[in-house]
Amino acid sequence: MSYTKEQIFERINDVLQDQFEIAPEKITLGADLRDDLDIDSIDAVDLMIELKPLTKRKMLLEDFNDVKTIEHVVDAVYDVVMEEQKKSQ
Amino acid sequence: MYLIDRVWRIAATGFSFALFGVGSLLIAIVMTLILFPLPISFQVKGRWTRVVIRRATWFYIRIMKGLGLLTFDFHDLDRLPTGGALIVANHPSLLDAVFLMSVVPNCLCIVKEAMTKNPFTFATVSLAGYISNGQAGEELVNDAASALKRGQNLMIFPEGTRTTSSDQLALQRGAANIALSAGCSIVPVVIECFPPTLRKNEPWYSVPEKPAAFRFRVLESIRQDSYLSSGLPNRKLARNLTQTLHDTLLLELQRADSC
Repeated sequence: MSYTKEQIFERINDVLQDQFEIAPEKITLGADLRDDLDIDSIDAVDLMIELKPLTKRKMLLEDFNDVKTIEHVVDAVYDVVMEEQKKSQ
Repeated sequence: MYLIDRVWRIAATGFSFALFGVGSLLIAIVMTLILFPLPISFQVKGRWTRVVIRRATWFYIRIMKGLGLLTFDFHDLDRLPTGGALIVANHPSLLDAVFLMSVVPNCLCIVKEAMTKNPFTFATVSLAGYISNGQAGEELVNDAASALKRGQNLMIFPEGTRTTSSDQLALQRGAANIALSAGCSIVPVVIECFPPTLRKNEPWYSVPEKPAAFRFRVLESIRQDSYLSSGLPNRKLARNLTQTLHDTLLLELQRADSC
């Protein structure tokens, strides 16, 4: 099962609204996790856990190197999804 | 006269800083010599070290008072828990932790990573089992929560650093996350210090115009069932609880200002 970047963004959008109580209008690709969305390192760990159904494996901290915006998260998750897909083929 | 007083207090502050370093080192050496050969667990050694630290800080703040550097009073100390509770406080001054250590029994704290490397403090910090902030957020929360579950008290300054502004508090959510993870009660302590002293980015020799008066008020504890059992996801609980802590502390601070 593969996911497009749009689907990954939708999933992140859902998690941020439902679990983190972040206003929907704040959630854009360019939004900065720390400055705009007030997501701290503990939140980031929970976000990774919530995204596990997409990535199949637990996201590692190094997958999130240099992650600052939502777009970076989408890309990082997408990379892991593709990597896992390659492995399973 | 004022000049003499000021010079005296600068010298006495320098002496107090030196005493702190030498004292920590002394505690480390004595405790290592006494405790190291004993066949008791690391946990028990930690508890004994914390008892010694509590007594030592008790004397230390009285020495500073005796030198004319500050005055202090504590209110409602009987509200302090014997163990297993999270003590949260605002953080106006470098001395806050020292004051709290002198009154809270069996109390752990989270220390700057630098203190775990400083030659004067690292041994005492490690013997006492203090938790370093140099690890990832998740591990820090786990370490802190398991210490609380073992029955130790833990003090934390949720601002994460010393307060920079007098009329607002910016709390990080680490304290709330620790409380949620441990399921413990929370005891807020309001610290007032006037005139301000030893603030963030303030050198030790810049002494206030008169000796600082510290006041510590222990508030009623926030019980775990008041924030735990609402069925909300953890992220929301952490945000709500952080807001509660913020409002509680700020309300008391403002009340103090107006009277």
